[in-house]
Amino acid sequence: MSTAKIPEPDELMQIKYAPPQTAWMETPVDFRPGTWSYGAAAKNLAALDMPNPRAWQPSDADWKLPENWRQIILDGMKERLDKYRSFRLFMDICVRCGACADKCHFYIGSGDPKNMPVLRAELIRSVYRRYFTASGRCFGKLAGARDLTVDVLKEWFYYFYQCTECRRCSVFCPYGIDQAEITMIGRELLNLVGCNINWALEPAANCFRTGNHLGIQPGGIKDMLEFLADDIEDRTGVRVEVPINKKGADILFVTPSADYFADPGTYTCMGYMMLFHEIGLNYTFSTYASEGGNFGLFTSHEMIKRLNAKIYAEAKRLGVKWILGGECGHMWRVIHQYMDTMNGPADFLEEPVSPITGTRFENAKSTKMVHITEFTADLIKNGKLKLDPSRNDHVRLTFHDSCNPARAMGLFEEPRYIIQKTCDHFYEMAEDTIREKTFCCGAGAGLGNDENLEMRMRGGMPRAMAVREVVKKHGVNRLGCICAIDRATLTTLMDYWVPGVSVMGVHELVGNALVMKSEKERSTDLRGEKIGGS
Amino acid sequence: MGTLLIVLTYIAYVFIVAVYAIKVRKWLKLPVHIRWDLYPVIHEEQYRYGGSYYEKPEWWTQPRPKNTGRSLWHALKDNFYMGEYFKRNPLYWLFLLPWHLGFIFIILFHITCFFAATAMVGGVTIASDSPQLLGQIFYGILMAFAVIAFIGGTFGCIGMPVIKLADRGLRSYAMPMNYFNYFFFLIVYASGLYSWLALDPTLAEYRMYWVGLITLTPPDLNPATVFHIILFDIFLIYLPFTRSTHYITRLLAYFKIRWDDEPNFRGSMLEKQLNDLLAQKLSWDAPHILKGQSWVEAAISSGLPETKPETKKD
Repeated sequence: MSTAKIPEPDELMQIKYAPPQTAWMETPVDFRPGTWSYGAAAKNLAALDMPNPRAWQPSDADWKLPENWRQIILDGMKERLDKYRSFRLFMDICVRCGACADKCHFYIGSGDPKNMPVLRAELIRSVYRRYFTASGRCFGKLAGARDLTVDVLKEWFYYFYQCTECRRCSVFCPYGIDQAEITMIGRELLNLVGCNINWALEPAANCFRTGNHLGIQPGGIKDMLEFLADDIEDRTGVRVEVPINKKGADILFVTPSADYFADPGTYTCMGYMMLFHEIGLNYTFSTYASEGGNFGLFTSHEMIKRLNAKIYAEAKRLGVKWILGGECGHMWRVIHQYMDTMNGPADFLEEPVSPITGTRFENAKSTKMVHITEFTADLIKNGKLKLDPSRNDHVRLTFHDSCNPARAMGLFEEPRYIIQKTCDHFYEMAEDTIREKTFCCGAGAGLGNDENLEMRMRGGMPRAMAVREVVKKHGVNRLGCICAIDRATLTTLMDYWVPGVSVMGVHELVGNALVMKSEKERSTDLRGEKIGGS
Repeated sequence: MGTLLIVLTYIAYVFIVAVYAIKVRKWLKLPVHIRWDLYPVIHEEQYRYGGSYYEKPEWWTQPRPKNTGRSLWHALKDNFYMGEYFKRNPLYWLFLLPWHLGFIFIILFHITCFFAATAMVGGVTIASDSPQLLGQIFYGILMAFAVIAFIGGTFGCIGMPVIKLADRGLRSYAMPMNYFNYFFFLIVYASGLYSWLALDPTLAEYRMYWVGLITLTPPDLNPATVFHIILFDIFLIYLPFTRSTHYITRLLAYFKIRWDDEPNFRGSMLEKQLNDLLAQKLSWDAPHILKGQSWVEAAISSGLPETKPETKKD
């Protein structure tokens, strides 16, 4: 746990947007406590076969880099410039118009100009100019180029781990640049010399070892799911089954481990389990594919593939027909954009068809993996669920579009459809803070740690201010989302900026509203709070 | 001098076309991207709610209509009015827009000169009181383009360094090369402005010059006009090394990365490109990736360590 002192909200709100007196290349990075994440531990680097495992921290003067670190980075850059059309074009194309600047939650919350996406990219672009363009080689600083030094590397580390890869800036870039891609490449390059953050690498190493970020062993997973079944029985009088590693199940259900490990995700998980019980779904959890999240996305493309492989491998082992995925953010970017080509083809699975409604999920024909909100929205649309939205009357809800399902999947309507059928008090936040323009929670991409808390509160401030507006206007007391990182980190964010607002998953709403056969009279919601009015 | 001018002009035009072509070819030869997935996808019918043709059954066998007009407008709209700047920094916009209009219109002016000269060779008289309507239209367009280019460009080139130096925020992030560009481009535009205002109010000399280029007949021009044309030729040679490439790369970024979502059909060119890529060798190895593997070998392996069958020892 970090001991960094976090300013009070009023103090944090005093943001200075004036740039520093010195030119940006001459302004060294300041590793101020509370604004950076701990370096990756040697054991985690070693566990993942990553280079240069050693004991170090970003605040150290000596980062214990390999002797030829510069050559390693430049070779890595060259390889990626040749491999990714996007990287080469994004290096060449930017005119520094600044349209992205005030779209970044970290710049809005910190006022640090190097958190403007344009300047964050310029950190790497200046090195690209120096070593890979004629003007940079000939004219150096006159052409905006600079040498790759240890200080530059430290600057990369600080700012590329202050970007949550949320892609909000990319929506607004008039040149079509996807700034998150530049951050991803920047992080890959840092990885080549062993510079990563522990909060990204420890979950990745755990995932590689046990299948889930938290390193939970199969027995622990079984215990926790049964504990949730106990809670469901306590609230509803209905005992739901807990199918685990069930060979021959129709569907493998994969969700982030935070859903069955930590509140408020557990209530969302209870919602899934109640739903599956009620419709009689022949499904199974897996103790191996026990994690939907993939912190490889915050490390390298190779790591994404490596960690994601278990989902198809387990689907094959268990002999299921197709895969259903829970409420998660970055998990869905990986599944929607990468899984099919990285780990596929999943030709041993069937085209997903809902066994309840008969709906064919054509959009998932190739990946064979369906998003839970698509599945549930289809059940509701076909009248397969009996719902009593009045059981959520104590909830005055607003909805945070999680970055990846929104911008990487276009999943805007399905969660809203479910919300409207399960909750009578739903209020949208301001138009430029939802759907594809949604603001990040400020803690994605591996930044949701405690030592980085000040930066999280700064980065999450724009989202929190939008929530504060609907709290004032409509008395909102609950923030819904479909992402496990959101459920974990928005809770802290709300406590800091908008106390009194708690966070929930959409399937917690479903669990509350679901009228189950042979249930007892429900007096509380899944949290054990009184239902039916505030 | 006239001959030299013709030679220099041809060199400049061949050079700019060749360098841009080489650059574009280089960008296009880089590995293709699969669908980029940043929603909403503007050219799709379902873009308003974040949807896509993925929602249709057997989508790859069905028409996938693209609204090219909407996507082109999305990609190019900023060139013409720069609305983001106007909203956020109107004073900066006041100089930035004319600076960009100068670029666009000086090139449009010369392209139009080529067509006008071609018409002249064909017997059309270019003048405000030309007996042919085509001649009057050419005259009007040429005057409009030149006036916008020379005045807008000069105004922008003076204003941009002034506002950048006056504003600490802008000054911090400007490169010295930016100021060189402002100075050089100012000379280009101002020389054209002077030549037009003081010596050639109907721009007849440019038309003569372009007729000379087409017929390979050295024109007899005023030294001030010659000076501007030489500068403009150097401007053309210099342009590919500046950020002006963004006029092209922007289209590539949108159409060849963000919106390049053609399905990979059997026997298609895309399949060939992908097969060539997949044959490349990996440059790294790890316990789960064997040294010397090709991309395709890595892609079809599970990504997990291979288990070796145990051998019994006697």
